[in-house]
Amino acid sequence: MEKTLADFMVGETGQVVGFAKGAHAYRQKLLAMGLIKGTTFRVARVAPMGDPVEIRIRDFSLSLRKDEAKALRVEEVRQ
Amino acid sequence: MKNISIGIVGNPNCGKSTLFNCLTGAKQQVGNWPGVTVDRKTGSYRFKEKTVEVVDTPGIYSLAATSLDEKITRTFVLDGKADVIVNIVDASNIERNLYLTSQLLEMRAPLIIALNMMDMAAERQLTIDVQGLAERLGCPVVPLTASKNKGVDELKQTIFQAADLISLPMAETTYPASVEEARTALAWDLKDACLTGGIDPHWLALKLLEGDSLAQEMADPAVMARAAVLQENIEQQEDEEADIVIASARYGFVSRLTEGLVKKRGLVDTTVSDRIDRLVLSRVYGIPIFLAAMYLMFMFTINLGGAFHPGTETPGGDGRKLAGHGRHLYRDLCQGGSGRHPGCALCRDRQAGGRSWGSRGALRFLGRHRRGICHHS
Repeated sequence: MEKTLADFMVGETGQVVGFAKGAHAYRQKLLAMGLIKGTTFRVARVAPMGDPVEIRIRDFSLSLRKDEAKALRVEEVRQ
Repeated sequence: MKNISIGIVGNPNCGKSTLFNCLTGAKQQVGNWPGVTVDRKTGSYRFKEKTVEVVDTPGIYSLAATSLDEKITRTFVLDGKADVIVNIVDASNIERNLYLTSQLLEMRAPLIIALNMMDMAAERQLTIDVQGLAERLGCPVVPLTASKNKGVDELKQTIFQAADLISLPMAETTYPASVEEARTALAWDLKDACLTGGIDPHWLALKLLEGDSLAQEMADPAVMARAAVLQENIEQQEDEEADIVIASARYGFVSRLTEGLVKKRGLVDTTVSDRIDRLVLSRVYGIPIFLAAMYLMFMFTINLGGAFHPGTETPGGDGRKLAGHGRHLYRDLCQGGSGRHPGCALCRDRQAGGRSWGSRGALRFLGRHRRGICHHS
């Protein structure tokens, strides 16, 4: 089921399913970080107000703002 | 004898400047890129009778030119003034770093890969087949731990040799047929425009398909319109926008490149710094640890720092007196104490000399300016 990064709890694993239309420049940044379709990630930490969210992908940590992460379409992966 | 000029290109925080300093020693100067405010560092070193000019570029994750840093680095590589581009790759984070490498390969840059942070990779239980990587990439790969000055001489030797050879790495990303077709078609339209600028039309075509703003500045409106049509075609065939298709293909190239060459022994997901992070950033312990650290620092400053305050003498090694005095000072400052220190051994000692002992300095330190408050009894 598709949801946004903000809906994830710490420790949950997700997968990138695609990108929202538009936001070309920011999308380029996410792509460069390796957030391409099919990439799995784990939510490592969520800041007290729920923003930013730190995820662990490809053996490094990445912090994303909730607003910006909207460009990213993700789904939860059950283990 | 002709000098060599090299550029250092890599991700942020992968050790570019460390390597720059390793190579050039103290002979560095800071300059500006023309027209912008981002610093460019140039330096030089001598190797076998040749002077090697080194340019350090801003750290970037991609050559997409969505930010100033990326534009600067890309223009530098595109200029072709450097004989060798040393691409630093953080071995402990190899996939993300090789994404940039894949783009440098597309630009047909004369590459040397400096595989830095080999020590970190070892700590994370990663083994990398350096020789195998060099064969697949078709360019020299030098393992390096720049922070410990390991492998720097080998790198200098490799740079020296590579500068004389005019060979370019042949490894290339393979794109889906739809992208390849569009690229070839667009490159044909661009070939006249590129001829004068000395830019590879295939590269420019790919950048236009990605919707790159710098590439769009280089192309005329007719070509732009054609690029838009081709982008649409790709989107229809691949069910994904062209720039996403291209980026995915690059990561596909990176995983094929590293397949079987980068191995991870066991799952070491938590390094020491991860564990420290988990503790100090914990919801429960984080704030108390922070307060304790601040308290310790404060006590340390007052207890020891007070002793070195101008106008006082050093306490002559009597730690217990000093600690007692520190408690009085703490009371003065934090609990609104009177500045009187009844029974304070240190103040009694000082009274003979007629000097106040630390309160004044400490209060000034907090900006209270409560001069003359310290009466020693």
